[in-house]
Amino acid sequence: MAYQLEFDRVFQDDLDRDGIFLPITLHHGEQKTESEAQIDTGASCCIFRRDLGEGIGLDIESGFRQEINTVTGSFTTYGHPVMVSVLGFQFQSFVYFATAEGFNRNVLGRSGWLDRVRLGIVYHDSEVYLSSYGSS
Amino acid sequence: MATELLNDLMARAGRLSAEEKKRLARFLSEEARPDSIGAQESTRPQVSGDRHNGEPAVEWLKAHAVEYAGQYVALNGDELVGSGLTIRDAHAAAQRNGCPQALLVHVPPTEGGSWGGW
Repeated sequence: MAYQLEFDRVFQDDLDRDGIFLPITLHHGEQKTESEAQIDTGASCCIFRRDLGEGIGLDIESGFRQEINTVTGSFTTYGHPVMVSVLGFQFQSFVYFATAEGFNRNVLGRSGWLDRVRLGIVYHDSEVYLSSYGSS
Repeated sequence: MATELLNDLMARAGRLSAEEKKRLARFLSEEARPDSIGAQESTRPQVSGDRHNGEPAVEWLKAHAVEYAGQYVALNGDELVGSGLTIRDAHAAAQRNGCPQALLVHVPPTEGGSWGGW
């Protein structure tokens, strides 16, 4: 039996990079900042660099504190409600910003992003297919 | 015709209980907004003053995270309008309560915590 999914967007990533990255825009109020983030199905939530949060006017430490575990230890983040836009799909979401200045990852994880999209990956061809969950 | 319908609706709404009126008000408020369920094809940023942009959700989480650990919650400002073990359940509850555009948040579990994934 064959199964078929339909998506509204396709994005071609760069094969030379260590991971699958998508361009993102974070909005808070009338401020926005652009960057890119790595799709990470192993991440519980969306985690971004501190400077991205500060760039949209957030007081990082006023957020909801959450320790994030990794295989080598943990680090501190604070959660805030922001608008996340990826490939034209925009979601009001709750995401986390690392406190450490040296933290240099942006991650699109399960809660806050993967839980509100339909995602297809053809890694062999470096293709990412995306739709919002609510679309057809 | 629209005026007649409006007058009729307002007359009928007058017979609702206080809680039902609040629920209806939330529903109408959400219906009046131009955007959809929380996912939209748009690059339009939300403007300041939107209920989702304030920090009421943060304050709610600080107060209730232990109580709802491991669940999804649907928040309309600092008001809980739905919850469930999945985002689908929480969103459905928010819709039933007249808040289809509630902010959907996964409350981290108390045991095991959250993982960075790398």
